[in-house]
Amino acid sequence: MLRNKRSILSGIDVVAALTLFCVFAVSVLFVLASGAGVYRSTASLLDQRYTSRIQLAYVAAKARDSDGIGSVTTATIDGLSALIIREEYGNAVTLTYVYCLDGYIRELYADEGVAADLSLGEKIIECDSLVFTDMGGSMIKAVCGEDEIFITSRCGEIGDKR
Amino acid sequence: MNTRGGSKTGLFLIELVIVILFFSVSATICMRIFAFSYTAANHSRDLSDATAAAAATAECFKACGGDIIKTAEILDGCEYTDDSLTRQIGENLTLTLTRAGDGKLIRGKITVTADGGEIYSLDAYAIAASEGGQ
Repeated sequence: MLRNKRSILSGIDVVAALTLFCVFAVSVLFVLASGAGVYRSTASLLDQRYTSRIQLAYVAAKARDSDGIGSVTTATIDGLSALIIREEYGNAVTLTYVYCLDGYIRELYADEGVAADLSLGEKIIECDSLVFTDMGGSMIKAVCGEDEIFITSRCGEIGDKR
Repeated sequence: MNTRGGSKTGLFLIELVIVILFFSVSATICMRIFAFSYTAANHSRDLSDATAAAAATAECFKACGGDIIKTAEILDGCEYTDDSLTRQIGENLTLTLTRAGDGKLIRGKITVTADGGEIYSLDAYAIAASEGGQ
């Protein structure tokens, strides 16, 4: 009887130790899972914000780099919304088309008067959609996904529509 | 024999308790860091949204010559009066544009708040539109 009692106590010791170890293991897993979850959500959040902001920042920088009366206009070419930047170099006039095609913001550089083949544009950055709207006066609205920016001409009203 | 076995189990239990104690302290510190990281990421997201919305509102305000009503017509989802405009940004941000100045130079105070606290503010200045144009 005494032997049985001792064996029972010994068994309880083992069970208690194992239970404590299991609790420890579960706690470790919980902390690891929490950390991984927080890291994943934080990284996803920052990546999403960076991606949407950098696309519109690029478009705004491109437009403001050529700020001037009649320099920046919008147009729809082959069903695509495009920003057209007009630059003059002496007697030559060149047009830069900025648009979104096949998941990328692209840039096409061509002489004025030449038909633009948008499929030849150089890929700049990934983008799902990019739509330009002439709001009238001196303002263009660019929408990329859920984000939007307004680009206004500092040097005067945006003129000729193309 | 049984005493030695019992002693070994007891020592193992003590060692396990000490290990769990150290782990608890470390886990507490880690959880605090995780919580701070999550809060900081949310604050960063709110600040990013606030600056983008404020910049867009400022551009509209300047382009409209300081006219709140014209600005509200361009921006979506605005509630406005003659001198102020309020717009909801996302789920928990509120943008307020307040117009000041009666002369040629119109000042617009743009404030973005979250849960009642201001997280970003911006001053925009516009030249009042002359009659017949912007």
